[in-house]
Amino acid sequence: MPKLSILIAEKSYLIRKGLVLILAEFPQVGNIVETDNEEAFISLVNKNNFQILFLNPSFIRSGKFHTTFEKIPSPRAPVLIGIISREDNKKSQIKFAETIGFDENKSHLLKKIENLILRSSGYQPEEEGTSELSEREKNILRHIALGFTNKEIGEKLYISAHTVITHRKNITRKLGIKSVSGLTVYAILNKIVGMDEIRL
Amino acid sequence: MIIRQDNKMADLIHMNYLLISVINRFGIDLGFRDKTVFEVCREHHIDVRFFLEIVNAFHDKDYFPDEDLQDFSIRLIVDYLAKTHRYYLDEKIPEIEQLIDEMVNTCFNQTDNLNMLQKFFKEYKEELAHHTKREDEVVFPYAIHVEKAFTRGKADPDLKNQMNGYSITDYINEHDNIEEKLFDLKNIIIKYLPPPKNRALCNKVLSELFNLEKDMNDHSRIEEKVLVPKVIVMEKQLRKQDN
Repeated sequence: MPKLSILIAEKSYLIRKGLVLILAEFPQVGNIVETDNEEAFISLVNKNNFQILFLNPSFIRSGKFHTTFEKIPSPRAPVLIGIISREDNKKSQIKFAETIGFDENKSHLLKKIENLILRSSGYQPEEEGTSELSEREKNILRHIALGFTNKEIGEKLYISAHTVITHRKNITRKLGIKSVSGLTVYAILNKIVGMDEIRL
Repeated sequence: MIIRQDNKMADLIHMNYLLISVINRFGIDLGFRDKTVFEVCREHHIDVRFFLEIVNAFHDKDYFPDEDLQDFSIRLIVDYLAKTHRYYLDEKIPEIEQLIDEMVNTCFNQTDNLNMLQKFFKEYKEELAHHTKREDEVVFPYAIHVEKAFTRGKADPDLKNQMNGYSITDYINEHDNIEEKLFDLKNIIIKYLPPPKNRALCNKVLSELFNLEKDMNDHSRIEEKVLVPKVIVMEKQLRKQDN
């Protein structure tokens, strides 16, 4: 699963830093970008693909907010989170999927953010525990360790090179190992391939 | 916190002990008594603004240099970065290598696995050496070349040629994959290696790997936030004159 990319648009340094600290503790979170001015905000939103956007609506002065977001096709539009109290949200022109207020207590706030991140990262509880490799993946890993290219593996196993790449991505995600030599070490440690079969 | 010239040098280290390796690269040793950053830099003939730029960029990953603080020469930055490369290759890597060797020599319950780890680390070392060599021999001289032309106000034909095929931004793009193996190695030890007999040694290797990774990330950030933007501005200016 690719990591979440998050934008925080808020003038207050104090609040930005606090949010960053909380968000950075989640393994699902990748890139966190902060901005404290509207101009940079608009260009960031246009250039990047954020999944979650924390926004203080008082931040937007020029009324360009809606025109900025109309340009983004809907599946790519980030989940909007207002940095705003419940009362102010009723008056807000922007429709937020969720709000976080300044006065919320710790456990309430953390729960909200956790839910948000789990939802946005496409987390499915039943997938938990499937970090074990499938037999197919083990077989592909074996061939990677033996030094075959994606194309060669595809030919040997009668699948397309593209499918091999997809399997490789899944293997890397499950194991947390990216390089070929790292994967080889894993394969040997787990007796998927014998040490005498390969030269490292 | 933003580090300033009237801060006590000792307080810097209390705040972030990883800065020890940074000040060492500047040729500064411990034992500064109550001297301030300004005083220590003066003693060592170090440009204090440059020093502050580096320690701040290293300490705070969101630190963004003020433009008026950026008027020191590219040569200074490049010298510092090259010194950092030497620090990795001549000090840090051999240190970790020695720990891993020790692990191989003292743990008899899984000699094969540890031999494999040792080889893996050697591979990483070679990759790192290759990467830093390219920066030392191609990227840094290029940056200095650009600065020279910029000060002179004109690019010589040689540099024009180079600028046609290469820009410092390409260098940012080349920059990723080097951390991959380090990341893998950490995960192999944390998740997959059967626990070696000598637990203390294994923990030490792991914490050294974490420190190295952190140091390298901070190092890359200095390259990307301090060096690259300066060169981009100069490249632009030089290209403009051409047209």
